[in-house]
Amino acid sequence: MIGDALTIPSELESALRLRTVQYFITKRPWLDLYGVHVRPVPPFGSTSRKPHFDPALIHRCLPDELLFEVFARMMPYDLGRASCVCRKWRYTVRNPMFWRNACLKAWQTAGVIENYKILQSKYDGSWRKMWLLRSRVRTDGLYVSRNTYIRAGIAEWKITNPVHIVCYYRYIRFYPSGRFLYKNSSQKLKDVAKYMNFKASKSENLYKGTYTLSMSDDKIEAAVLYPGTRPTVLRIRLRLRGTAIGANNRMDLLSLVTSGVNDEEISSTEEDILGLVEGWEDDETHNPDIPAVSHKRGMTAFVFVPFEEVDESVLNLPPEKMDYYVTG
Amino acid sequence: MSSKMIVLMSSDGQSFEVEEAVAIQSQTIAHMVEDDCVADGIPLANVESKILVKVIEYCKKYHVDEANPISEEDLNKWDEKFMDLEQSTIFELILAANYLNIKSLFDLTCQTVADMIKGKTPEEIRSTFNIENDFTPEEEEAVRKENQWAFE
Repeated sequence: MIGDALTIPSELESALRLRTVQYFITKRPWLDLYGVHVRPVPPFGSTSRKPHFDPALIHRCLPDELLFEVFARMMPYDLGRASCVCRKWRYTVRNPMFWRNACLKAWQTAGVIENYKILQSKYDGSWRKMWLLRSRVRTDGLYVSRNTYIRAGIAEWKITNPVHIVCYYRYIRFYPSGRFLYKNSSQKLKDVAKYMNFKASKSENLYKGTYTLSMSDDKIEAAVLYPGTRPTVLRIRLRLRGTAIGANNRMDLLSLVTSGVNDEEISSTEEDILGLVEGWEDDETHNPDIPAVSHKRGMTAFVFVPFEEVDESVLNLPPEKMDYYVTG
Repeated sequence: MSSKMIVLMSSDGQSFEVEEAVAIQSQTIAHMVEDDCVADGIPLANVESKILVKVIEYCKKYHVDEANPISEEDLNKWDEKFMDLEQSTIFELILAANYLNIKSLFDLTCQTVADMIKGKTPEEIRSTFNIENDFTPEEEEAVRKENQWAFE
Protein backbone atom coordinates (compact mmCIF):
# COMPACT_ATOMS: atom_id res chain seq x y z
CA MET A 1 0.00 0.00 0.00
CA ILE A 2 2.63 2.45 1.01
CA GLY A 3 4.59 1.61 -2.12
CA ASP A 4 1.61 2.65 -4.31
CA ALA A 5 1.15 5.92 -2.48
CA LEU A 6 4.75 6.86 -2.99
CA THR A 7 4.66 6.70 -6.78
CA ILE A 8 3.41 10.20 -7.35
CA PRO A 9 1.75 10.95 -10.71
CA SER A 10 3.48 13.56 -12.85
CA GLU A 11 0.76 16.17 -12.49
CA LEU A 12 1.51 16.21 -8.82
CA GLU A 13 5.22 16.80 -9.36
CA SER A 14 4.70 20.50 -9.06
CA ALA A 15 2.90 19.87 -5.85
CA LEU A 16 6.01 18.16 -4.60
CA ARG A 17 7.46 21.59 -4.19
CA LEU A 18 4.70 22.31 -1.74
CA ARG A 19 4.74 20.68 1.67
CA THR A 20 1.10 19.70 1.16
CA VAL A 21 2.21 16.66 -0.82
CA GLN A 22 2.38 14.92 2.52
CA TYR A 23 -1.37 14.64 2.48
CA PHE A 24 -1.18 12.39 -0.53
CA ILE A 25 1.03 9.94 1.24
CA THR A 26 -0.82 7.73 3.62
CA LYS A 27 0.27 8.17 7.16
CA ARG A 28 -1.43 6.74 10.17
CA PRO A 29 0.26 8.20 13.26
CA TRP A 30 -2.72 7.38 15.43
CA LEU A 31 -1.81 3.75 15.15
CA ASP A 32 0.97 4.47 17.62
CA LEU A 33 -1.56 5.44 20.25
CA TYR A 34 -3.27 2.10 20.38
CA GLY A 35 -2.49 0.34 23.60
CA VAL A 36 -1.16 3.49 25.25
CA HIS A 37 -3.35 5.10 27.87
CA VAL A 38 -3.53 8.79 27.09
CA ARG A 39 -5.13 11.02 29.72
CA PRO A 40 -7.58 13.30 27.94
CA VAL A 41 -6.29 16.50 29.48
CA PRO A 42 -6.70 19.57 27.30
CA PRO A 43 -3.85 22.08 27.34
CA PHE A 44 -4.17 24.81 29.93
CA GLY A 45 -6.20 27.76 28.77
CA SER A 46 -7.78 25.86 25.91
CA THR A 47 -11.33 26.97 25.22
CA SER A 48 -12.31 23.52 24.09
CA ARG A 49 -12.08 22.29 27.65
CA LYS A 50 -15.08 20.22 28.64
CA PRO A 51 -17.11 21.91 31.35
CA HIS A 52 -15.32 20.28 34.27
CA PHE A 53 -16.61 20.86 37.75
CA ASP A 54 -13.71 22.21 39.80
CA PRO A 55 -14.13 20.91 43.32
CA ALA A 56 -12.23 23.88 44.73
CA LEU A 57 -14.59 26.59 45.95
CA ILE A 58 -11.85 29.15 45.68
CA HIS A 59 -11.60 28.60 41.92
CA ARG A 60 -15.35 28.66 41.39
CA CYS A 61 -15.77 31.89 43.38
CA LEU A 62 -12.76 34.00 42.57
CA PRO A 63 -11.89 35.23 39.08
CA ASP A 64 -8.21 35.09 38.14
CA GLU A 65 -7.49 38.72 38.90
CA LEU A 66 -8.72 38.32 42.49
CA LEU A 67 -6.67 35.15 42.97
CA PHE A 68 -3.77 37.28 41.81
CA GLU A 69 -4.59 39.82 44.54
CA VAL A 70 -4.46 37.09 47.18
CA PHE A 71 -1.09 35.88 45.90
CA ALA A 72 0.20 39.45 45.85
CA ARG A 73 -0.09 39.47 49.64
CA MET A 74 2.07 36.37 50.12
CA MET A 75 5.80 36.05 50.72
CA PRO A 76 8.00 34.66 47.92
CA TYR A 77 8.53 31.38 49.79
CA ASP A 78 4.79 30.84 50.03
CA LEU A 79 4.51 31.62 46.31
CA GLY A 80 7.11 28.98 45.53
CA ARG A 81 5.16 26.39 47.46
CA ALA A 82 1.85 27.57 46.00
CA SER A 83 3.33 26.92 42.56
CA CYS A 84 3.31 23.20 43.36
CA VAL A 85 -0.39 22.99 44.18
CA CYS A 86 -2.03 22.72 40.76
CA ARG A 87 -1.64 23.88 37.16
CA LYS A 88 -3.74 27.01 37.62
CA TRP A 89 -1.64 28.16 40.56
CA ARG A 90 1.61 27.33 38.81
CA TYR A 91 0.49 29.46 35.88
CA THR A 92 -0.68 32.33 38.12
CA VAL A 93 2.55 32.40 40.16
CA ARG A 94 4.61 32.71 36.96
CA ASN A 95 3.41 36.31 36.64
CA PRO A 96 6.55 38.46 36.69
CA MET A 97 4.84 41.09 38.88
CA PHE A 98 5.31 38.92 41.96
CA TRP A 99 8.97 38.31 41.29
CA ARG A 100 9.61 41.92 40.40
CA ASN A 101 8.21 43.03 43.77
CA ALA A 102 10.11 40.31 45.61
CA CYS A 103 13.38 41.27 43.90
CA LEU A 104 12.99 45.01 44.42
CA LYS A 105 12.32 44.41 48.10
CA ALA A 106 15.17 41.93 48.60
CA TRP A 107 17.77 44.06 46.87
CA GLN A 108 16.35 47.42 47.85
CA THR A 109 19.72 48.83 48.92
CA ALA A 110 20.86 48.77 45.31
CA GLY A 111 17.98 51.00 44.26
CA VAL A 112 15.32 50.49 41.60
CA ILE A 113 17.31 51.79 38.62
CA GLU A 114 20.36 49.71 39.40
CA ASN A 115 18.23 46.61 39.81
CA TYR A 116 16.58 47.17 36.42
CA LYS A 117 20.00 47.52 34.85
CA ILE A 118 21.18 44.27 36.40
CA LEU A 119 17.93 42.62 35.28
CA GLN A 120 18.68 43.41 31.65
CA SER A 121 22.40 42.77 31.66
CA LYS A 122 22.58 39.58 33.71
CA TYR A 123 19.19 37.90 33.83
CA ASP A 124 17.66 38.33 30.36
CA GLY A 125 14.90 40.54 31.71
CA SER A 126 13.49 37.76 33.87
CA TRP A 127 12.79 38.74 37.47
CA ARG A 128 12.26 35.12 38.37
CA LYS A 129 15.72 34.27 37.10
CA MET A 130 17.17 37.06 39.20
CA TRP A 131 15.35 35.77 42.27
CA LEU A 132 16.78 32.28 41.74
CA LEU A 133 20.30 33.02 40.63
CA ARG A 134 21.39 36.20 42.35
CA SER A 135 22.86 35.91 45.85
CA ARG A 136 20.41 37.18 48.40
CA VAL A 137 20.41 37.38 52.19
CA ARG A 138 17.32 35.90 53.71
CA THR A 139 15.47 38.15 56.13
CA ASP A 140 12.71 35.77 57.20
CA GLY A 141 14.71 34.04 59.92
CA LEU A 142 18.14 33.74 61.55
CA TYR A 143 21.51 32.51 60.35
CA VAL A 144 23.09 30.40 63.08
CA SER A 145 26.67 29.19 63.44
CA ARG A 146 27.14 26.47 66.02
CA ASN A 147 30.59 26.14 67.49
CA THR A 148 31.91 23.76 70.07
CA TYR A 149 35.07 23.43 72.00
CA ILE A 150 36.21 21.16 74.74
CA ARG A 151 36.98 22.55 78.13
CA ALA A 152 38.83 20.55 80.67
CA GLY A 153 36.85 20.19 83.87
CA ILE A 154 38.21 20.40 87.35
CA ALA A 155 39.43 17.04 88.53
CA GLU A 156 37.53 16.40 91.75
CA TRP A 157 37.40 13.28 93.83
CA LYS A 158 39.59 11.46 91.37
CA ILE A 159 37.08 11.59 88.56
CA THR A 160 39.41 11.01 85.70
CA ASN A 161 39.75 13.73 83.07
CA PRO A 162 36.34 15.32 83.13
CA VAL A 163 35.72 17.29 79.99
CA HIS A 164 32.89 19.54 79.05
CA ILE A 165 31.73 20.19 75.55
CA VAL A 166 30.96 23.86 75.42
CA CYS A 167 28.55 24.94 72.75
CA TYR A 168 28.12 28.54 71.69
CA TYR A 169 26.33 30.14 68.81
CA ARG A 170 26.73 33.12 66.57
CA TYR A 171 23.37 34.56 65.53
CA ILE A 172 22.83 36.97 62.69
CA ARG A 173 19.56 38.53 61.65
CA PHE A 174 19.64 40.56 58.44
CA TYR A 175 17.23 43.35 57.53
CA PRO A 176 16.62 44.41 53.91
CA SER A 177 17.59 47.99 54.78
CA GLY A 178 21.27 47.11 55.18
CA ARG A 179 21.26 46.77 58.96
CA PHE A 180 21.72 43.60 60.91
CA LEU A 181 21.79 42.27 64.46
CA TYR A 182 24.53 40.08 65.86
CA LYS A 183 24.75 37.98 69.00
CA ASN A 184 27.33 35.56 70.28
CA SER A 185 26.01 33.41 73.12
CA SER A 186 25.43 29.94 74.47
CA GLN A 187 21.69 30.57 74.65
CA LYS A 188 19.52 28.33 72.54
CA LEU A 189 17.99 29.40 69.25
CA LYS A 190 14.37 29.31 70.37
CA ASP A 191 15.13 31.70 73.24
CA VAL A 192 17.30 34.07 71.26
CA ALA A 193 14.85 34.28 68.37
CA LYS A 194 12.26 35.85 70.65
CA TYR A 195 14.18 39.03 71.30
CA MET A 196 16.38 39.30 68.26
CA ASN A 197 14.87 42.53 66.97
CA PHE A 198 15.46 46.25 67.21
CA LYS A 199 12.99 46.67 70.04
CA ALA A 200 15.03 44.51 72.40
CA SER A 201 16.51 46.04 75.50
CA LYS A 202 20.19 46.82 75.74
CA SER A 203 20.77 44.19 78.40
CA GLU A 204 20.29 41.39 75.90
CA ASN A 205 23.82 41.74 74.53
CA LEU A 206 22.58 42.29 71.04
CA TYR A 207 24.81 44.26 68.73
CA LYS A 208 23.82 46.31 65.72
CA GLY A 209 25.76 46.68 62.54
CA THR A 210 25.54 47.35 58.84
CA TYR A 211 26.37 45.12 55.90
CA THR A 212 26.61 45.14 52.14
CA LEU A 213 26.09 42.33 49.69
CA SER A 214 28.28 42.49 46.63
CA MET A 215 26.42 43.24 43.34
CA SER A 216 28.45 40.80 41.37
CA ASP A 217 29.08 37.78 43.57
CA ASP A 218 28.15 36.08 46.80
CA LYS A 219 30.27 38.01 49.31
CA ILE A 220 28.96 39.92 52.30
CA GLU A 221 30.94 42.55 54.21
CA ALA A 222 29.58 43.41 57.61
CA ALA A 223 30.69 45.40 60.62
CA VAL A 224 29.48 45.53 64.21
CA LEU A 225 30.41 48.01 66.87
CA TYR A 226 31.09 46.90 70.42
CA PRO A 227 30.63 50.18 72.25
CA GLY A 228 32.08 50.99 75.64
CA THR A 229 35.19 52.54 77.09
CA ARG A 230 37.42 50.63 74.65
CA PRO A 231 35.25 50.52 71.58
CA THR A 232 35.96 47.70 69.17
CA VAL A 233 34.77 46.99 65.68
CA LEU A 234 34.10 43.45 64.55
CA ARG A 235 34.54 43.07 60.81
CA ILE A 236 32.91 40.00 59.32
CA ARG A 237 33.34 38.62 55.82
CA LEU A 238 30.87 36.00 54.67
CA ARG A 239 30.06 34.03 51.55
CA LEU A 240 26.48 33.07 50.71
CA ARG A 241 25.58 29.72 49.26
CA GLY A 242 22.70 27.26 49.46
CA THR A 243 21.59 23.66 49.44
CA ALA A 244 19.44 24.36 46.37
CA ILE A 245 19.43 27.02 43.67
CA GLY A 246 17.97 30.14 45.20
CA ALA A 247 17.87 28.72 48.73
CA ASN A 248 20.61 31.02 50.11
CA ASN A 249 20.44 29.13 53.37
CA ARG A 250 24.17 28.75 54.15
CA MET A 251 26.95 31.24 54.83
CA ASP A 252 30.64 30.50 55.15
CA LEU A 253 32.59 32.62 57.60
CA LEU A 254 35.60 33.82 55.65
CA SER A 255 37.13 36.14 58.21
CA LEU A 256 36.45 37.64 61.60
CA VAL A 257 38.63 40.59 62.66
CA THR A 258 38.36 42.76 65.74
CA SER A 259 40.08 46.13 65.74
CA GLY A 260 40.07 49.21 67.87
CA VAL A 261 38.40 52.43 66.85
CA ASN A 262 38.94 55.79 68.38
CA ASP A 263 36.20 57.82 70.02
CA GLU A 264 36.07 60.64 67.49
CA GLU A 265 35.39 58.26 64.67
CA ILE A 266 32.48 56.72 66.52
CA SER A 267 30.68 59.89 67.37
CA SER A 268 30.75 61.00 63.76
CA THR A 269 29.67 57.67 62.35
CA GLU A 270 26.21 57.17 63.88
CA GLU A 271 24.78 54.02 62.32
CA ASP A 272 26.92 53.08 59.38
CA ILE A 273 29.73 51.15 61.03
CA LEU A 274 30.61 49.45 57.78
CA GLY A 275 31.08 52.77 56.07
CA LEU A 276 33.60 53.65 58.74
CA VAL A 277 35.79 50.57 58.37
CA GLU A 278 35.36 49.88 54.68
CA GLY A 279 38.76 49.89 53.07
CA TRP A 280 40.66 49.18 56.26
CA GLU A 281 43.50 46.74 55.91
CA ASP A 282 43.12 43.42 57.64
CA ASP A 283 45.57 44.33 60.34
CA GLU A 284 44.52 47.93 60.66
CA THR A 285 43.43 49.37 63.96
CA HIS A 286 42.72 52.92 64.98
CA ASN A 287 43.39 52.43 68.61
CA PRO A 288 46.96 51.35 69.36
CA ASP A 289 45.82 49.80 72.64
CA ILE A 290 43.58 47.37 70.78
CA PRO A 291 45.48 45.46 68.12
CA ALA A 292 43.69 43.97 65.14
CA VAL A 293 43.03 40.33 65.81
CA SER A 294 41.93 37.90 63.15
CA HIS A 295 39.99 35.11 64.83
CA LYS A 296 40.50 31.55 63.70
CA ARG A 297 38.27 29.65 66.10
CA GLY A 298 34.52 29.32 66.03
CA MET A 299 34.34 29.65 62.27
CA THR A 300 31.66 27.06 61.58
CA ALA A 301 29.39 27.84 58.65
CA PHE A 302 26.03 29.46 59.27
CA VAL A 303 22.77 27.64 58.70
CA PHE A 304 19.57 29.52 57.98
CA VAL A 305 16.51 28.79 60.12
CA PRO A 306 13.20 30.46 59.14
CA PHE A 307 11.20 31.95 62.01
CA GLU A 308 8.46 29.35 61.81
CA GLU A 309 11.00 26.55 62.28
CA VAL A 310 12.87 28.14 65.16
CA ASP A 311 11.20 26.15 67.92
CA GLU A 312 11.55 22.70 66.33
CA SER A 313 15.03 23.16 64.90
CA VAL A 314 17.67 20.53 65.75
CA LEU A 315 19.96 23.38 66.70
CA ASN A 316 18.10 23.59 70.01
CA LEU A 317 19.37 20.19 71.10
CA PRO A 318 22.20 20.01 73.64
CA PRO A 319 25.58 18.82 72.34
CA GLU A 320 25.14 15.23 73.53
CA LYS A 321 21.92 14.80 71.61
CA MET A 322 23.10 16.32 68.35
CA ASP A 323 24.52 14.10 65.68
CA TYR A 324 27.52 15.44 63.92
CA TYR A 325 25.84 18.36 62.28
CA VAL A 326 26.65 18.58 58.62
CA THR A 327 26.15 22.05 57.33
CA GLY A 328 25.98 20.89 53.74
CA MET B 1 -26.75 66.38 64.23
CA SER B 2 -28.79 64.99 61.39
CA SER B 3 -27.19 62.17 59.49
CA LYS B 4 -28.37 61.47 56.02
CA MET B 5 -29.51 57.89 55.51
CA ILE B 6 -29.17 55.80 52.38
CA VAL B 7 -31.01 52.64 51.48
CA LEU B 8 -28.98 49.72 50.11
CA MET B 9 -30.82 46.89 48.38
CA SER B 10 -29.28 43.44 48.18
CA SER B 11 -29.61 41.15 45.18
CA ASP B 12 -32.25 39.07 46.98
CA GLY B 13 -34.51 42.05 47.60
CA GLN B 14 -33.69 43.02 51.19
CA SER B 15 -33.27 46.69 52.12
CA PHE B 16 -30.83 48.11 54.60
CA GLU B 17 -30.81 51.66 55.88
CA VAL B 18 -27.32 53.00 56.48
CA GLU B 19 -25.85 56.39 57.39
CA GLU B 20 -24.43 58.05 54.29
CA ALA B 21 -21.12 58.73 56.06
CA VAL B 22 -20.75 55.01 56.78
CA ALA B 23 -21.82 53.90 53.31
CA ILE B 24 -19.46 56.13 51.37
CA GLN B 25 -16.50 54.12 52.62
CA SER B 26 -17.46 52.23 49.49
CA GLN B 27 -16.03 54.21 46.59
CA THR B 28 -18.71 52.79 44.34
CA ILE B 29 -21.47 54.15 46.56
CA ALA B 30 -19.60 57.43 47.09
CA HIS B 31 -19.57 58.03 43.33
CA MET B 32 -23.26 57.31 43.10
CA VAL B 33 -23.95 59.79 45.91
CA GLU B 34 -21.90 62.39 44.07
CA ASP B 35 -23.83 61.73 40.90
CA ASP B 36 -26.96 62.12 42.99
CA CYS B 37 -28.74 58.96 41.93
CA VAL B 38 -29.52 57.51 45.32
CA ALA B 39 -33.03 58.80 45.84
CA ASP B 40 -34.78 55.46 45.48
CA GLY B 41 -32.08 53.46 47.20
CA ILE B 42 -29.07 51.77 45.67
CA PRO B 43 -29.57 48.34 44.14
CA LEU B 44 -26.56 46.09 44.60
CA ALA B 45 -27.15 43.32 42.11
CA ASN B 46 -23.94 41.52 42.96
CA VAL B 47 -24.28 41.40 46.72
CA GLU B 48 -26.48 38.98 48.64
CA SER B 49 -28.12 40.09 51.87
CA LYS B 50 -26.07 37.69 53.97
CA ILE B 51 -22.88 39.33 52.70
CA LEU B 52 -24.24 42.88 52.71
CA VAL B 53 -24.96 42.50 56.41
CA LYS B 54 -21.29 41.74 57.04
CA VAL B 55 -20.14 44.60 54.83
CA ILE B 56 -22.34 47.06 56.69
CA GLU B 57 -21.07 45.70 60.02
CA TYR B 58 -17.51 46.33 58.84
CA CYS B 59 -18.21 49.83 57.58
CA LYS B 60 -19.96 50.79 60.79
CA LYS B 61 -16.98 49.65 62.86
CA TYR B 62 -14.52 51.46 60.65
CA HIS B 63 -16.45 54.70 60.65
CA VAL B 64 -14.04 56.17 63.18
CA ASP B 65 -14.34 59.75 64.32
CA GLU B 66 -13.91 61.82 67.48
CA ALA B 67 -17.19 60.50 68.88
CA ASN B 68 -16.04 56.94 68.28
CA PRO B 69 -12.29 56.58 68.78
CA ILE B 70 -10.75 53.09 68.58
CA SER B 71 -7.12 52.04 68.86
CA GLU B 72 -5.45 50.18 66.02
CA GLU B 73 -4.80 47.23 68.27
CA ASP B 74 -8.48 46.91 69.12
CA LEU B 75 -9.36 47.14 65.44
CA ASN B 76 -6.93 44.35 64.61
CA LYS B 77 -8.45 42.11 67.26
CA TRP B 78 -11.91 42.93 65.97
CA ASP B 79 -10.78 42.14 62.40
CA GLU B 80 -9.64 38.69 63.49
CA LYS B 81 -12.99 37.89 65.06
CA PHE B 82 -14.83 39.41 62.13
CA MET B 83 -12.97 37.20 59.65
CA ASP B 84 -13.65 33.99 61.54
CA LEU B 85 -15.96 32.83 58.80
CA GLU B 86 -16.57 29.95 56.42
CA GLN B 87 -14.49 29.91 53.26
CA SER B 88 -17.50 30.60 51.03
CA THR B 89 -18.37 33.72 53.03
CA ILE B 90 -14.78 34.97 52.87
CA PHE B 91 -14.67 34.58 49.08
CA GLU B 92 -18.02 36.32 48.71
CA LEU B 93 -16.69 39.14 50.88
CA ILE B 94 -13.68 39.52 48.59
CA LEU B 95 -16.01 39.81 45.62
CA ALA B 96 -18.26 42.30 47.44
CA ALA B 97 -15.36 44.45 48.65
CA ASN B 98 -14.02 44.48 45.10
CA TYR B 99 -17.39 45.40 43.58
CA LEU B 100 -18.14 48.04 46.22
CA ASN B 101 -14.52 49.25 46.11
CA ILE B 102 -13.84 49.28 49.84
CA LYS B 103 -10.06 49.14 49.93
CA SER B 104 -9.49 48.29 53.59
CA LEU B 105 -12.04 45.46 53.55
CA PHE B 106 -10.56 44.16 50.29
CA ASP B 107 -7.07 44.15 51.83
CA LEU B 108 -8.33 42.43 54.95
CA THR B 109 -10.19 39.68 53.11
CA CYS B 110 -7.38 38.99 50.62
CA GLN B 111 -4.82 38.97 53.40
CA THR B 112 -6.96 36.49 55.34
CA VAL B 113 -6.87 34.05 52.44
CA ALA B 114 -3.15 34.68 51.92
CA ASP B 115 -2.61 33.82 55.59
CA MET B 116 -4.53 30.59 55.09
CA ILE B 117 -1.97 29.64 52.43
CA LYS B 118 1.08 30.89 54.31
CA GLY B 119 3.38 28.29 55.81
CA LYS B 120 1.53 25.30 54.40
CA THR B 121 2.92 22.56 52.20
CA PRO B 122 1.28 22.04 48.80
CA GLU B 123 -0.59 18.99 50.12
CA GLU B 124 -1.92 20.97 53.07
CA ILE B 125 -2.99 23.80 50.76
CA ARG B 126 -4.85 21.37 48.50
CA SER B 127 -6.64 19.89 51.45
CA THR B 128 -7.58 23.29 52.88
CA PHE B 129 -9.12 24.48 49.63
CA ASN B 130 -10.20 21.14 48.19
CA ILE B 131 -8.01 21.67 45.13
CA GLU B 132 -7.42 18.82 42.72
CA ASN B 133 -3.85 17.94 41.90
CA ASP B 134 -3.95 18.00 38.12
CA PHE B 135 -0.23 17.66 37.52
CA THR B 136 1.06 14.59 35.74
CA PRO B 137 3.81 12.87 37.77
CA GLU B 138 6.42 14.35 35.43
CA GLU B 139 4.99 17.86 35.78
CA GLU B 140 4.82 17.51 39.54
CA GLU B 141 8.44 16.54 39.73
CA ALA B 142 9.46 19.37 37.43
CA VAL B 143 7.57 22.06 39.33
CA ARG B 144 8.88 20.76 42.64
CA LYS B 145 12.41 20.90 41.32
CA GLU B 146 12.12 24.42 40.02
CA ASN B 147 10.76 25.55 43.39
CA GLN B 148 13.02 23.48 45.62
CA TRP B 149 14.43 26.67 47.15
CA ALA B 150 11.04 27.40 48.75
CA PHE B 151 11.30 24.18 50.74
CA GLU B 152 14.86 24.59 52.00
